Amino acid sequence: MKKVSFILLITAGVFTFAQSSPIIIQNYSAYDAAGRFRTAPAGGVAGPYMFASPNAPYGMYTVPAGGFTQYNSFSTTGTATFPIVKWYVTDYTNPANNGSYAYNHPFISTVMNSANEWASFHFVIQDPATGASDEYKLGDPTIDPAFSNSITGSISSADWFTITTPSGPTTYLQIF
Amino acid sequence: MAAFAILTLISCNNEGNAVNTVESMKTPQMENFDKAFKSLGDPQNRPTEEEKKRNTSELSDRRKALLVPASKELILSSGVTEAELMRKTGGDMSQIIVWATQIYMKKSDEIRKNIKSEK
Repeated sequence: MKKVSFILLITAGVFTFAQSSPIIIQNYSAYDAAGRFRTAPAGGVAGPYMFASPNAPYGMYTVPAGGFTQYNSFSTTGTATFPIVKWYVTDYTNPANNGSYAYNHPFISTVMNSANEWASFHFVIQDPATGASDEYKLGDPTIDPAFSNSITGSISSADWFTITTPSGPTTYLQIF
Repeated sequence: MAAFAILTLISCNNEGNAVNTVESMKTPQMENFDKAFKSLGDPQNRPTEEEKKRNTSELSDRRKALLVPASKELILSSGVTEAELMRKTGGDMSQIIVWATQIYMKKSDEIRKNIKSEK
């Protein structure tokens, strides 16, 4: 019985998030947004997750003021306007997978594209003139309840939402 | 003559700086699309308490509706007819917004490419 439910679980998993979906990121604010951009298994279940490497010339993953970009899947992020050339994978369920991978590494396209969804962006916005700042734990709360999908700060605000059509969800990360 | 040449060079440089940004080359429909998305950040358009309580990240219908007019305008500006738009989307707000988003991203990529090739 245990075996059967395991197989069912795996099958359900494959059918639920078998296809990677696009994310649209738009920073309408006057400030750069820098932080940790993460992907994770849907529903917050155990499994591999990963963080985006910094996009040059920044030291941290950054969406510059007024900037916008689109990522169609994890395995194509290196060619986008704000390129993510590497993914840092952590996998407690199989530590052999831990490590950094080039975005076009087969592990990203064959395993991570179907195992993860866009999860969250933990970032800071700072006004360099006044020093005022907002910190955001923005993301899908069904993946991590510590994250919220709509937050209003002191000098900015931000939304994380999906718009779903018959061909699947499109995730939008908006900073105002 | 030399002075004239230098002046010409300077003026060309300045022109380049002023003109060649994605922002300044967006079409009016793209600018309106930006405005619509930006308006989601206006206080009256932030999620209500009720919308926050929903256990989903799907954008609420009330907020989707704010994006539809500019999305339609952008799709029509790409040469699609009203009839075609209705046939392909059935008037569904989500399909209209996602389609317009793809047009917006494609046009932005074209603008970026043009800027690069001019440099």
